Order: sequence, then structure tokens, then C-alpha cells
Amino acid sequence: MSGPPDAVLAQDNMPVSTTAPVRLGRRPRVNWGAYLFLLPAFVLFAVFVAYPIGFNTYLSLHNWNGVSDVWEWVGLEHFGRLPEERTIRLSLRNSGFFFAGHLVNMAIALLLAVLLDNPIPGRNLARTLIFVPFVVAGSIVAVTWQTIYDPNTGALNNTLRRLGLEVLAQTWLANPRLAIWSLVVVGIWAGLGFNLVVYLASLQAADPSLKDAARIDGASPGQVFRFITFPLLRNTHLVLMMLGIIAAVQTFEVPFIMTEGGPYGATTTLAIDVYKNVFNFGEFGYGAAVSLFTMVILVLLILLQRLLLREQRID
Amino acid sequence: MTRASIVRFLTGAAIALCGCGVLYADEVTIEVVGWGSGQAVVYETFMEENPDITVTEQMLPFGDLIVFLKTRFLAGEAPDIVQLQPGNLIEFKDSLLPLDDLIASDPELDLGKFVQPVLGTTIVDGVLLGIPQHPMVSGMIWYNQDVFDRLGLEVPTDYDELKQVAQACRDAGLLPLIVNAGDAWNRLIVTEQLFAYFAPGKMAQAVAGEIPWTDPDLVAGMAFWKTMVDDGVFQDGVMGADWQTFTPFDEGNGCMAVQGSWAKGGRLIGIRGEGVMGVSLPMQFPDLTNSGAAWMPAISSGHAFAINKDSPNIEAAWEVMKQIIRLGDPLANYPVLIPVYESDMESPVLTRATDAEQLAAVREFELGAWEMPYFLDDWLYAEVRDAIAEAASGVATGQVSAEVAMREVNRIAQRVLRR
Repeated sequence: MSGPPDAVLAQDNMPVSTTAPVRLGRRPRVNWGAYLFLLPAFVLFAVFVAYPIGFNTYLSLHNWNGVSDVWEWVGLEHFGRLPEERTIRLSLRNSGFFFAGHLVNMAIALLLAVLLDNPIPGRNLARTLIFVPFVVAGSIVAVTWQTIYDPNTGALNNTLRRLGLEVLAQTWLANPRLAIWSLVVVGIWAGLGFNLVVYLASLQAADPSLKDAARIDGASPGQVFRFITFPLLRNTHLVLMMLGIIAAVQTFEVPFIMTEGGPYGATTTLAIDVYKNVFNFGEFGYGAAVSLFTMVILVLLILLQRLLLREQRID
Repeated sequence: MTRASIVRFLTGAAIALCGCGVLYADEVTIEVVGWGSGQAVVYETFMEENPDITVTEQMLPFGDLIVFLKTRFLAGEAPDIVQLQPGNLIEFKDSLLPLDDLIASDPELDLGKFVQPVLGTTIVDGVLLGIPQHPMVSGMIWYNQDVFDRLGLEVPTDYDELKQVAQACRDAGLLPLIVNAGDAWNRLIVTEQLFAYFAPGKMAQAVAGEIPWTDPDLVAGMAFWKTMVDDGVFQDGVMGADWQTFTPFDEGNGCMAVQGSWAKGGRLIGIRGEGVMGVSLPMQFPDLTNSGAAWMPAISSGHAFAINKDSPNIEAAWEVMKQIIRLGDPLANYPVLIPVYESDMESPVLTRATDAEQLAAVREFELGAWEMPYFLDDWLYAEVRDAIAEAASGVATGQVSAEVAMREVNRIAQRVLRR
């Protein structure tokens, strides 16, 4: 029996190319049409993201009052000021308080969501009422709560007095220890509806058979919540936490209107610091440095979020 | 319609449009941008007399004005005339037209006719940059005369008396001395009085960088915030109070309120007839040192009009400015100072017999204040103003000692001066 010819055997032993044959002397074709489709997004990104960041960075290296033709180069001087400024330290601390408030907000929203996920009477009305503050403009929220907190004529102290609890009546916005928490309460009230809706949506998207199976296996409602519902919402927790961190760092409207960041910086934020420096003091350069600092913090937090989500996927 | 008639029509229309262009080429439009209620009547009168000049007026909320103007100046499209607070003039000084020569060249105008202290608020680096309007006195207090009469109180002249009056008001269930100190501007007004009493003349020296803000007398003045809060002189929660805190005063539930003479609009006219309880009258800020020291009012102006130095129509803008001086807020100069009050007296809003006396009392008070030794309520740098207001907030709420707070003020002031 004769085998295959040696030449054929030799060919079989040769490595087989897995790539398409390349014709020498010709470049691969570029699909310019695809780039054309990307162009609008690129232009928008360049105009509305890249250019402002670049300009802001350039501005942060100068002294400029916003009107004058004179731009004085100061290098990194504005960034050197950041650790010295009391308002920066207080802003970061207050961001932490606002985030703590957000965590409380999330906890309340989760409990309410679990409750309202059940077919109880009036749940649609309850959902609507809880969501309403979220759609009210921040300025209106601020002025409303400012009135409520007024120590002499406000509804809160008046109610406490009528209930015979005058000892609890406080100067809510003037007391530096209370002022930040007074604002945190406003944040919880105004933001509860959003967190509630997100949790409700996640709960309704979850596979009900998991809970049913647990119940058939004899799990109590508490165990269902602890071992099924809560872990199922992990993605939602992470997203809401990250949104909360971003909101805590960027908070402006409510504290600015209610306290202007006072008393003595007790409720100030980075955004208020930027606003004051740029628009009140005409320190555009320093304001740009603070906003760049804010951006760096937010970028780091977003990277942290991506890292946490990636770890979750690996799990 | 034939093709020839269409061509004729189009040609005619083109010629007509060109003609319009030529007609309007000589016309000038002056844009005025500011805040408040505006003064349309002034410009309407002007346009009747000057049909070739059109004046447009755009009024913005003050919070938006400065940003709006900065953007317009930056774009090289600034309005011809801008209305600013005197304190803002320094920010725009490189973009505004010096007015000294224009005024000097016009025999009709005489700077000597102006309320002189007020004119000083619009002079930056020795150059007159704006025409001030609405002169006012601050660092004063309004008191409710009806409440005082009912409680048998006398107008306090020193700190001990102020404390007694405040306590009497509290005992009667009324708010004592009301300040909306949640607002930096109002903290500053009170702080100026503290400095004026505890460190006479030193505030101006510190502003100029001649002495540090840590001067012991200035520190003592700042420290007195805490004393006043602890003594219950102010209403509770004074450092968190906003403008609504004056409502109880207007409703007859407060004894005294720290507001400038600008509040006369509301005190005397705006709210009168709408349920204001009691007659409110101005009083001097009492001597806080109990040493018999004289009150030193702060003089300021509500706003100033200035011309964009790059306006293509400076000549026309100056004509409009002259009209503003002549017919604008008549408080701008002495000759028309009294008439404006007289016209107020004829206001149909004023219905009570006491109003005439009240108006006369306010007028006398303001005129008297302008004749007294004064200081300009016009801090050159916003950062220093803010730093002092912040310090007051920290000291009054016990977060920081006056020494530490004033060191922070000094640090910021030094940096601003270096800049």
C-alpha cells in the first residue's frame, strides 16, 4: 500500500496560517464611513467636554478677574492654596455628611420600596407623594425649608412648642452643629423619591421565582430580604451610592440658598466655594483650580465605582 | 403679473430697503443693563427729546447681573451703560469710562451738588467711574414706635439700655433686635458698627493695609458679636436668619430691626396700607462701648450708572447719563433731594396722618447722618468683605475665637492686597 507522496506529507506538517493572506504592497482598507458617523460625537465631545476641561486647566494656572484683558501666569500657585483653605477642608467634610445622609436615604428608600412592592392599599398614592419632592425645584425646596426652620416663626419650632416640647426647639440653621444635619434632612426629604423609584424598578425586575423558592424552603420574610432581596439589589446599591457620592460632592443649590454655606462654613461645599470665588470675588483662576480638584475627586470615585462593579462581575 | 413687473417690483423693494438702511444709519441705540425696577419713564422722556437715540433697558435679577455683564464684556459686546453696585465698580474698572472730564466739560453739571459722601462710593483709584444713585445710611436701626410706646420704652442710646430694651421686648413675647444675619451683607453692616465703636478709624486703616486686621481693638469689636448674642440682644437664631425674619417686625411682633435707610420704601410706602402694624422710625446704632462715643453712620449708594469705555456710542451714552442724573432717582443730588420726599408725601398710598411726621423724621435722620463723621460702606475687595462676614458668623456662633477669626481675615486681606 502506498502512502501519500512525501510532498503532501511535508505540506501537512507545515503550520497552517489562520489569517487571511496579505497582499504585499497594499494597506488594509480604512472604512472612512465609520469615522464619519463618529464625527458628530467627537465634535460634541471636543466642544463640550475636552475644550472646557482644557480651558479650565489653562485658567487654573492664571490669575484672571473675568473681565480684564490681563492674564497673569501663576503656575501651580492656586493648587498650592487648596490645602491651606479652611473652606476646602470643610467642603470635603460636609460632602461626607451629605453622603452619610444619602446612605440613610437609601436605607429608608429600600424599606419603603420593599413595602410598596407588595399589593397594599394606597401604594400608588404613596409612591406619588414620596416622589413629588424630587420633582420640585431645588430653590423652592430650599426656601420652603428655610421657612420651616425659622427659629421664631417656623413651622418646626412652632409645632414643637405646641406639643409642649419647647426644649427641642432649636436654631436649626444658625447652630453650626445642627445646620449641616438640618440640610442633610432636606436632602433626604427631597431625594427619597428618586431612590425609592430606582429600588422599586429593580425589585420589579428581579426574578420572583427566587423568592418563591426561598419561601417554599421555609425562609422567613426577614431571611428572604436578607439572603435574596438585598443581594439581588447589589448593582442598584452600588449605582445609588455612586450617584450619592457625586451629588454630595457637587451639592450647591439648597445649601447656597438656605445658609450661603454658613455659619462660618459649617454647610459650605466645593461648588459654593467655586461660585463664590468666581462670581463674587472675581478669582476665576482659583475657582478653576477648585473645580478641577472637584473633577479629579469625581473621576477617582467613578474609577472606584468601575472597580467595584468589575469585582462584582468576577464574583 | 409679467416678468417685467416682477423685476420692477423687486428692484423697487431693494431700493426701498436700501433707503431704510440709510435712514436708520444715523440712529443710535443705547443699551442700559441693570437690576431692579428700572426707570422707563426717564428713558421715554429722553427719547421724546432725542428721537434719533433709542434707549433700551434690560433689568435682570441682581444675582444674574454680574455674570451676565462679565460675559458680555468678555465677548466685546458689553452694554453702553451699566448699573452696578458701587462695590462692583472695582471689578469692572478697566472696562469703564472715567467720567471726571465729561462732567467737568459740561457746565450744566456740578459735582458739588451731589451728596458728597455718596459720590465717594463711585470713585475708584481717584477716578470717578459712576454716577451714584439712591444715597443711603446704614448701620442704623428701625424701631417700632407703637411697640415702644406700649411697653414704655425709650430709644436706647448705649449698650446697657439696648440690653434692657431687648429684654423688655423678650418679656413681652416680641423679637428684640432683628438682623437677617444669615446674609453676609447684614453681618457686615453690624460688624462695621462694632469696629466703628471699638476701633474708631482703624477699619479704614486695615482696609488700606496700614494696620493688620489682628489689631486688638478690631479683635475686641469682633468679639462683641458673641457678647451681644449671649446677652439676647438679637432674635434667636440670628445667624441663620434670612430676609423673612423682618416680617414679624412689620407685623408689630418685633421691637427693632437693623436695616439701612433704603428700607424706608417698605417702612413708609411699600407696605403702608397693606397692614403694617405701628409706625417705625430710624434710630442711631447705640454706643456699644458705653463710653459716650458718637454714632458713626455708614454712607453708601444703592447703585451707580457707568459707561462702557468701548461703547461705539459714548457721546450718546453720555447724553443718556445726563438724563439719568437730571431725571433719574432724584435722590442723586441735593437740589432734588427734598422734592422727592415731597412727592412721596403726596403718594396716595400714604393714608395715615402719622406718615407725614414719619417721613419728616426719616428725612431729618438721613440729612443729619450725611452731615456726621461717616465711613463709606464700600469695601474695596469682595474677599475681605466675605472674610469679615464669615468671621462674624464664626465668632457669634462660638465656633471660633475673635483672635483666630481675625487672623484668617488678615491672611485673606494680605493675599488680596498682594494681588
